[in-house]
Amino acid sequence: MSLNYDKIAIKKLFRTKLSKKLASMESERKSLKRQGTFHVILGSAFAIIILVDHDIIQKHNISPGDLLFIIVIAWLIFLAPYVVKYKKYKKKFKQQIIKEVIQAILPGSNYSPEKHIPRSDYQNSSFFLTSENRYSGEDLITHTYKGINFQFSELTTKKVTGSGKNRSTKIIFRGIFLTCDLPYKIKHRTLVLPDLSERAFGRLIGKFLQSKNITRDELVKLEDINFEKHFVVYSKDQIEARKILTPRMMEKILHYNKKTRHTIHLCFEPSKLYLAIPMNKNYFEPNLSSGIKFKDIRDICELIHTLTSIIDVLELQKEDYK
Amino acid sequence: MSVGIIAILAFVGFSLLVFIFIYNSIMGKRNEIENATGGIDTYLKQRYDLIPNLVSAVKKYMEHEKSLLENVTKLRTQAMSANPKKDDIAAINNEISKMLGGIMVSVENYPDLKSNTNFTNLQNTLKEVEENIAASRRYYNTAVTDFNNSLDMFPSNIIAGMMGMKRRAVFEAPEHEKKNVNIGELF
Repeated sequence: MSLNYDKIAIKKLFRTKLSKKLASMESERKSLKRQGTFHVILGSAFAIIILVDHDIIQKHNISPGDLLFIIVIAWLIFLAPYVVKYKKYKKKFKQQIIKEVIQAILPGSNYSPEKHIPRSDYQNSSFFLTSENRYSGEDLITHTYKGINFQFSELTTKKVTGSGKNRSTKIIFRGIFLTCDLPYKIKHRTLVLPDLSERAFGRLIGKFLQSKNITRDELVKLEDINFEKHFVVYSKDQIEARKILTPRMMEKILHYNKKTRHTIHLCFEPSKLYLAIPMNKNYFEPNLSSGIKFKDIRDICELIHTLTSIIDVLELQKEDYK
Repeated sequence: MSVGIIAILAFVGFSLLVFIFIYNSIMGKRNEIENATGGIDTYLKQRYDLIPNLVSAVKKYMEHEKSLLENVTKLRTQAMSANPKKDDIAAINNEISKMLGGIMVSVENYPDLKSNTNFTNLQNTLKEVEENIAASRRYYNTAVTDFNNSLDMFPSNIIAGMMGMKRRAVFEAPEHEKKNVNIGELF
């Protein structure tokens, strides 16, 4: 089986099967769009009336904070039926449209719209030093390619601190997270992270700061200057890290990084590989405002193809490992 | 205590701290080279230990390559008993690498040997050791480059000069291996 998907077949799928299903859901989409717009306008009007009409505040002796709280709760209650309807539509969209597309690219794969990568995998990767207290995700896809089991999903992790007015939310990661088998034996973790220090402070100071980073394993300095500009590598074993990141492998990772158009994070763990690609775009959601076009389906196919090609890029399927 | 004296003491204290920091950094880099050298030696030793097993596994099959097998055994003995101060150990190891490569190419002519499980396992182990040697040499070169940089760059070069530190040589391939390969001549 090859991962090179047939673009013509996808176009045909869109024009025949998917267009029909989208057409059958079109009235529902337009209705939701209208209702959504209506709720936003109504909610905003309601809030403006309450805020402008000072008599309400004075008569009932309500503080501005309490009033805002009441407005928000009232709006949410009013919005609840719409939210329920949207969730139903989203579920239907994912089952009827997204699932078809995924099966066309990865026949035999398993798609679970409401599941995500386990939190333990995310934490084991050690990509992010900030510990998360909010963990959510969706659109888990599981498959086997050339004997390598892999799975990926959208993930969002956050750190929420404080409460009330002092509450702050920091997004640690939002994007795609992939895990797969690592068929060759390694003893320690090797981390390949985006090189932010070197970009910010230049090579000399950047490398100095990275070498003093006590929150990570030992800094591994590699010979490929271009690779070093984009990535910083940490590992407990300098030799093992270089065994994994051969000059050829570094070039392949650079090329792959360019292909994703985002800055990837890679973690080689004993028996597992983790890949994280930060991105804000949510690929598997319905577009209520304009509906799904072929371009959106093509983007999903490109994303899935790019993600799963990591197995070919890192040559994980090689017979030598068996 | 006057401001002037405090300023002088602060300057002296700061200079001392900088000196200690740079001194420790240079020593750390020198030790890194020793660590990397140890890594190379470990994997070379593993290779030496594999050679008798390899020769024993292939000699029954590779009657025509008897001289090649004898030479690699001879070189192995030479490498293990070599004196680092007198003998060119790097040259001996390069020659061993060349001969092992020659043996692996010759194996292609012996299908029975290729399908032998014991030999296949040995071959994989040897391949892994060669990869480890290559990786440890790269680590050595990085450690030496770091050390040499600290000897050349200001202000660490001043302190390195005071300590009598000398530049180290990186691991280099022999001259004949640096030339472009003429694929036509190989056939």
